[in-house]
Amino acid sequence: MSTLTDTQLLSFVRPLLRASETAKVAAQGVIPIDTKEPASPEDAHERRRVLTVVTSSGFAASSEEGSVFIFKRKSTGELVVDSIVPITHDFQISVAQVAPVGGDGDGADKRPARQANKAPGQFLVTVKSPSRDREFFLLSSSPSLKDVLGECRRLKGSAEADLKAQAPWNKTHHLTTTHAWLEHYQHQLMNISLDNVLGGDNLDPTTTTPFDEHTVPDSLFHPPSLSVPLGKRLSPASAGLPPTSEGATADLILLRDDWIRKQLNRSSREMREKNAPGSSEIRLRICSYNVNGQNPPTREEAVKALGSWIRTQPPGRARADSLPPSETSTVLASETSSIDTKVSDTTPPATPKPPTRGATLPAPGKVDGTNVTVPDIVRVDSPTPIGHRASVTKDETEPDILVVGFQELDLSTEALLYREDPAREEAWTAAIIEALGQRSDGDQYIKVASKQLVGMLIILIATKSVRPRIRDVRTSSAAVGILGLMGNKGAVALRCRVDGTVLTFVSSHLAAFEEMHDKRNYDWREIVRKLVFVPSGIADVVFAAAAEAKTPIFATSPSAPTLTASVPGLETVVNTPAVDAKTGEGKPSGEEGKENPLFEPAIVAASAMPVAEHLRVMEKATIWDSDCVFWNVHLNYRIDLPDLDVRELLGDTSHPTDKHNISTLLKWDQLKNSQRSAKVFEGFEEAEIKFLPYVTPLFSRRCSLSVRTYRFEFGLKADKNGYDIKRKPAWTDRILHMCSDSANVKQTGYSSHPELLLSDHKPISATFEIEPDSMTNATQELLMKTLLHRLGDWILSDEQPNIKIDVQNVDFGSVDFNVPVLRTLRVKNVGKAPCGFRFVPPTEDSAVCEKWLRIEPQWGIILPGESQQVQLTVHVTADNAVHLNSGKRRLEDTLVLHALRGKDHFIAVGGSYKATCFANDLRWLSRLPCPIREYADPTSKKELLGEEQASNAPNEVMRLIAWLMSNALDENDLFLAPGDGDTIYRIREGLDTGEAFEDNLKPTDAKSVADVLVALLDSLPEPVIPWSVQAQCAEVADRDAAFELLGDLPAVNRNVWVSLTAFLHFLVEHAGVESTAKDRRLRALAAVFAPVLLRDNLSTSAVSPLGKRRFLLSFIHG
Amino acid sequence: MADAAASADKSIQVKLVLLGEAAVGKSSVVLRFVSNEFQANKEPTIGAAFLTQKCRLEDRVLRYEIWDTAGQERFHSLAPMYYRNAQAAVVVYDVTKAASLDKAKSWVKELQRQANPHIVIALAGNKVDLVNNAAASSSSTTEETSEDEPDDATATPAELAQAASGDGLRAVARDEAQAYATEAGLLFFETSAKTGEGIVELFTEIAKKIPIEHILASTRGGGANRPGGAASGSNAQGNVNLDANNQTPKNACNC
Repeated sequence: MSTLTDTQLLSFVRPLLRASETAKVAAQGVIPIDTKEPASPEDAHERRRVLTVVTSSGFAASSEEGSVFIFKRKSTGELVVDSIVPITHDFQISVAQVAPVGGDGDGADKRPARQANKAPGQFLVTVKSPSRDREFFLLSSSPSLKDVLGECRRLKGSAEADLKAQAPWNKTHHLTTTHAWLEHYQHQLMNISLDNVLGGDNLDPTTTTPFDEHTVPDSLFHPPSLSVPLGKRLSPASAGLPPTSEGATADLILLRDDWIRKQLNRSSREMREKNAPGSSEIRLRICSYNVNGQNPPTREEAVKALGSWIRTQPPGRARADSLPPSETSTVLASETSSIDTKVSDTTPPATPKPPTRGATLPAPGKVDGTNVTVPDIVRVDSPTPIGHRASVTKDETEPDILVVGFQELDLSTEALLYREDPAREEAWTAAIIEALGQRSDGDQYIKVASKQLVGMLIILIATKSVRPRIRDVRTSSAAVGILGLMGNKGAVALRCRVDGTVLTFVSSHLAAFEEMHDKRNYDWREIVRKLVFVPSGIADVVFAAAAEAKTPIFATSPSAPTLTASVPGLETVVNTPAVDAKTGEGKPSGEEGKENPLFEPAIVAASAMPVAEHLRVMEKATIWDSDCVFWNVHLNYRIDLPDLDVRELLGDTSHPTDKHNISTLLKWDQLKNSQRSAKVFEGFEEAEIKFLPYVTPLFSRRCSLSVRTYRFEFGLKADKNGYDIKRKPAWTDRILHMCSDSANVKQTGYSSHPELLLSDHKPISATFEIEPDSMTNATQELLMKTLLHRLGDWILSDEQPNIKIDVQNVDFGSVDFNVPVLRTLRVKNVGKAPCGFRFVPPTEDSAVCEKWLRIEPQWGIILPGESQQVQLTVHVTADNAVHLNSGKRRLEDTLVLHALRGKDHFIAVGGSYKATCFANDLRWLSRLPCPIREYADPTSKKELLGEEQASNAPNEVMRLIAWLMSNALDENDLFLAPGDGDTIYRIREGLDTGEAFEDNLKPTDAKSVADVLVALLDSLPEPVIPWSVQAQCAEVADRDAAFELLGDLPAVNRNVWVSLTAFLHFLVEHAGVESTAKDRRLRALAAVFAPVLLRDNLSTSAVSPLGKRRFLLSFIHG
Repeated sequence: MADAAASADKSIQVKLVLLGEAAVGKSSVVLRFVSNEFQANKEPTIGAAFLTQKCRLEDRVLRYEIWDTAGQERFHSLAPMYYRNAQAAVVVYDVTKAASLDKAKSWVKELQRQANPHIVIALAGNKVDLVNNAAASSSSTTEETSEDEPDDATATPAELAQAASGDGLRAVARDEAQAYATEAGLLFFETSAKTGEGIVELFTEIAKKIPIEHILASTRGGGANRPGGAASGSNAQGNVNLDANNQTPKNACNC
């Protein structure tokens, strides 16, 4: 290497640059070092540098700009950027001869520490750019130094002239904005390249131009398909499959790609962390609103009318925090507020520290008989002056990217039959941007793109500073309305790249009516199929530029598609025609947004982006070709419970934790059920819903100012909670998302906005934090080539894999019910080639492991000499404990770890399970001859009692009830407040071993005993009231009928039921003399126990939760 | 290349599984057959290894696809995954360990009950070098051999001591095993993975007894999904000519 000439080195530098950049001249040398430290030969090797003058004549630069690049030469021969000094107007370069013996170097920059070890004839080169705070020293004897000096001076002259040409007011700005093209190299700079991340030392040092022989498969540049997880893409396998089977090669390729992706993701994350954590973070807000044909508010009203939904939690919300919660208030609006506040409380990073900024939250209303009054909207305080907010440095409530989806934007027949009216979209966009208001950092919002299909509209808005990071914006739509074509139902969608992460946003409107859920499921699949994204015009322009430039580095890129001929209007990505699934027509581009200052005036950013960035775009992408899909929807999915139940449950707050019974209702939510049965949205996640179903604005009608629409028919009635009596309350609007493993996406909020009064539907919003993959394509490609190089051509080779597992028998020791135990295996690759591995099921029809075991990861690739840790977790829960408790099965399993193209390795897994009375059949429990731990002990040889000898009720249940009966009747919060974990464990152990826990319990432990009782009953494989009779129970007319029904139960169940309800009855009687106190306790106990004693069976149709409560009440009522 | 593909097409694939108690030398028998090697101190097999070896028998080429399984009782339940659809099985016992024949018998029973009904089963009494030494050589030589190279990694210290003593080494009489094999309808050989004795004969006789026509018929019949099919890229080190009366498989001609 050291024999290379400067000219040769220059030729190595060129491929590292982009097409718009030129390496002018190179000079090699070493970094000067401190004499105090002895220099070792390796050290000298480490200190080698190549100084290169690089110029750029890229799009963004008004004239030629120059920089001094300093490359480090790695042992592999590869050059990596070590430092960059931009040639600015104040740039300085000096070349000073170094005194051959001792003495101070008399270089321009005199530093004692840098004086010595200079051979005769050497020069100390100093380059610095004071305005950018950069400097660099190099010792060199290169003959090219003269040329370096010349180039630098020329470029400095150019920079000075450029500055002079600027208008006076622009000068300061100009000084910090030159050399934008260097951004591209930032990551290489902080990465210190591949060394740390990839362990570059393992690379073969003899390769001089490494990795070029490796062509990165195109697929690796695209996000992995989200629709089919890797586990499902691997070929079906089980023990005993010959390693030569056809699937093995395909599997290896899948594992290899997965491995490369994970490594890239890791590198990318490490780079970000090294840089400035969180600096590239994007706050995304997704909003969805069925506006029911309403016109947007005027600009003056926009903040008030839309602010809380579009931008932030209204300030009134947080204030509600400090207000004492009003016990008696059942006004939904205020209840919702407090729920919302809780949501933000549980998500610390996003906790909106609300700016004191006026918005529209109605103050808590009052209950006035059954009439609910909500304060008039006009009474809300006017906005606090902007100046106040300016003091907030970084406002966490301000989104960087906002995606708004509208449904029923335009209900006119014209819209349905002919075409959408762009004026409406413009008006809404203007209102939204107005509602977003001024940002605390002075940044501004601009519209990036939108897509409309009849009444559906999706708009992408971003701040000006984030906008350049959004690229390859594409739109699409799918109509699934009447005849599968009409656009009144369907979806509109946007797809874009934010840095290196592909995000897809879908906004859809699905068929109405409760019973239409099959049609909705079908429509959903149609939408998924029809949404196809092709590159929009702007990408074509870049393609053209790239094709002209014939960039040599990316010769492997896909051929450029046909270019769109004339592109004057293309500066507006806005409304660039997307291929419409229905008609193939799009909107003519460039129609809108030209004069309106709110819209982006031109894609300046497009010209600034590196040409190469766009070469790897997918020609056709589906929604699955994303790192993350966000789906905001007016779904029309309803709740599969009787209307009365839904309304009653929503108004009921007797459950100690599940206020308004939201979780009970969500169990029967059609969307959740369809997801569970994998009919729709399989793999999508939805944050926990803590808000109430939408409220029709009937009760607020009186106070709304301008809202009067044909949909408001006078005479409509609301139920006592304010819900329209004609429409069953439901969570019709939802926001779901699905991410690949490598996407760094975190949801931070999910709320409903009942305070918005425009439409008869309520809008919702969700907030996310995204860390986009910020690696440039060039870095990524280099990394991928490096990784491929490390893997070698092993997929095609016959090299036998050889792995060793550190333990053959994994002993989990003693395992308690419901307590996870973790062990780690180490799998080492002792062979010569990389080894793909996966855990396979022992037989074709079995799972990889028992249900109580979890393996992570289940597959991967291990490089020679490296190890992979595999975590095994045993967790025995109510779902899988039955056979373990009865002793029919032991806590034992055999895992088969298959090395692809090699052996099957067996791993024995086991532990000694401590049998528990939890999660057993009631009748079986009553036949136990002794405490379960003793029975399950293999040495005990105890037999189950015969049916006729069985006890009346399981001893364990009776012990708990007996203790509570004599110790806890005066405990106020019994069953309503949680107990203590350690005490609970002790009690459970007592039940299982037969040891007397009773004597050690204090009256204050009552809540813990109560907890154990509820948990024990809830863990039964089938509830105390078996599923087969629950429907009858829910329909009983009176107490006599209820008691009669009890006769049909198995004796054990009946006995448990009677003992328990008798105890609950006593408990209610002890609530005090006041009938309201008794009644409150009665309702609370019913709310807690009905879902336990009559647990739902989600695989059958719903039984009325209210009916269940009534049945229970008829036993515990006085 | 074309040749190889053609011969791969013509060769008849025979799935063979090795079963038997732990430490009787199953892996060593396979290693001798496939690579003509012997490794002292071989680690126990915890799992199942797949090996292939091509053989010529008269005008036919057989490709043995061999599953060498773990002998530990702990993994017994996984064995069916390896012997299902096998056309041949070698059940190995250790001639110096009487209990290993009992285990072999139980394997044979299981195979006859659950495996492919046409399966060819061979019983192999391995480690016969230990008893040959005792019988044929003076006691001093025996001692020397035993001390210098503990013959089999999987032999227990007790067995080594027994071997060293050169006395009462054989725990299973040849006649006894032969009688059992005849009665159960098995092929029978005494083998030594260490010296190679009996190994080629074992696989030759299996090859002869395999109902090849039956295999071919079932392959043609639509065995596209036949386990063990579609095997290319053989890792065979060399082919064995089963016709040649030659005990050194390495020198066998290729087919």
